[in-house]
Amino acid sequence: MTEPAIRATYLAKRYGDIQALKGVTLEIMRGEFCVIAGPNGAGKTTFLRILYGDAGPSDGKIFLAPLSAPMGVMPQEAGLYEDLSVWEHVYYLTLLKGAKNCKESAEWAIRVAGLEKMKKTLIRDLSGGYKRRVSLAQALAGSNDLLLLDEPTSGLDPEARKMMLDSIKDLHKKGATIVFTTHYLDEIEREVDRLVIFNEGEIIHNGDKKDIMDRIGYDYEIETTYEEGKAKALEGLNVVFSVEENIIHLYLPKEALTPELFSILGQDITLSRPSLEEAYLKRVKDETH
Amino acid sequence: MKLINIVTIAKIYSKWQFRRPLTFFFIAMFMPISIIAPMLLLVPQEGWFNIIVGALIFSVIGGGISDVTLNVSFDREEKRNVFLITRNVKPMEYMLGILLGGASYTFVGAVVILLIGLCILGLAVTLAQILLMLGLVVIAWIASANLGFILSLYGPKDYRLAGSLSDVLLFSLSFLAPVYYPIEILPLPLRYFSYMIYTTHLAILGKSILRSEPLSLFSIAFVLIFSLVLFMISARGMKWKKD
Repeated sequence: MTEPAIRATYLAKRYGDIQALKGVTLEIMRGEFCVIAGPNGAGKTTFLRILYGDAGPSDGKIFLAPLSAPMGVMPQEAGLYEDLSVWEHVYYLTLLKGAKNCKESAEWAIRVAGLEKMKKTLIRDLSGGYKRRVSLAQALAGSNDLLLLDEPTSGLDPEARKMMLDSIKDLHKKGATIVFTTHYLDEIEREVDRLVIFNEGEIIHNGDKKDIMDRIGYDYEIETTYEEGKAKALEGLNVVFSVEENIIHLYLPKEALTPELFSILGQDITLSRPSLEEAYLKRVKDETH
Repeated sequence: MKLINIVTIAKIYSKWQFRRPLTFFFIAMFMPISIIAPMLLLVPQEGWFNIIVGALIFSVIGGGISDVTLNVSFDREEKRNVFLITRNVKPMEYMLGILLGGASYTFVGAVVILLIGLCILGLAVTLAQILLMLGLVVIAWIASANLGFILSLYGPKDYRLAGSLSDVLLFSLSFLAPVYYPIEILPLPLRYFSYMIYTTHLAILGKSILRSEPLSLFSIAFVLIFSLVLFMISARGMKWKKD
């Protein structure tokens, strides 16, 4: 991961009065798994569309390093060719990539996307989830260098989501650069090299997972049933907690997990570590307010 | 420009005829033939040439204007062009691919109508006449498909509206223009106006070919130049539109 695969410099995009991107500067290294998160309208899709050439920037520059294989793009919204079969759709679009070994690549992508039994099925006869799989297959076929995936898992059932993520992780392990936008950070928590958070057209966070987890400000969350005595005792311990719907929530640093605390809380507790998603939500909330 | 891209796009845009055979049969054959039948009953035998040539032109330009308009407008609405943009497919390859793909099924309909027409007319035609008719079909296709491109590029963004507009154009060019009937029956001012419409010239040439009459050089020049100009306009406007 020494040289950049993508470099965006002061990238701006306006749609009339709406400023979709406000001078975004971002470098994504070769072989990196970069996740771009952000609420709706944050500018994630606009950024990706500029990367794959579907939109032009209003200002700023974009640099894409030469690729050893055609770029693979899974757009969020594009409709498929409904009168083609799954095989035809993936194979024809692989041919148009000018990729090597198109037939083998298309076969492989169809297998990876879990569509092997549906090769002859017409696109118009597929469910929404299977159409997303076809969209992934057309992106993967013939593309093992750079993949730009715009919310690839949205609208998928858990099984399909796992299958899709596994295939993307495999490609990443083989050295592909992955740029992946999502709303669901939990699903990719383990794979993320870098998390970039967009909000209102700006990058509000750009760093590895540890950066954002550190910023959440606590290591553990404990939930326990509300009792007046417990609450009073906790006040004496000087720990951060809140009470919601008869549940006490405690947000604690590692060193606060003392025997004294557990003796107050008793057996009725649920202990958990904050997830990446919680850290992300907090970051966006902090930025918005 | 890559031939493989053009051929692949042609395949993408021609598969529907196999996947929706009834729709294909209705558009390419049933509709023109169903118009032939009552007209043959109403029109004296000496006018049957007009009916056969009219049906042939209607079938070809219907495929050209309506299909191309709908394909291009629908691609834009469904944002399918992103697949082509990300594959570095050139707009001209897309355009030629659609032209080729549409031609493959439009010509099937045209040939069937021609064969039925020849049987009805009881004409023994020469190979040269058949080749000339096919050449006419090609030119009619190119001009009409380019009209479809222009309509989808410069017309309404909504594909349903663009489709309706293409139907208005199709019926005006096929039924209001002297295609199904001889130009001579029109009053003189309307006749002059009709000479500015390319389907008039296609019909004049088609009838001359079937009757083994000398071809009007003016009509040949008109349809060739008209097709070329339309092609140039649509090629110029065919760009991947970036926001």
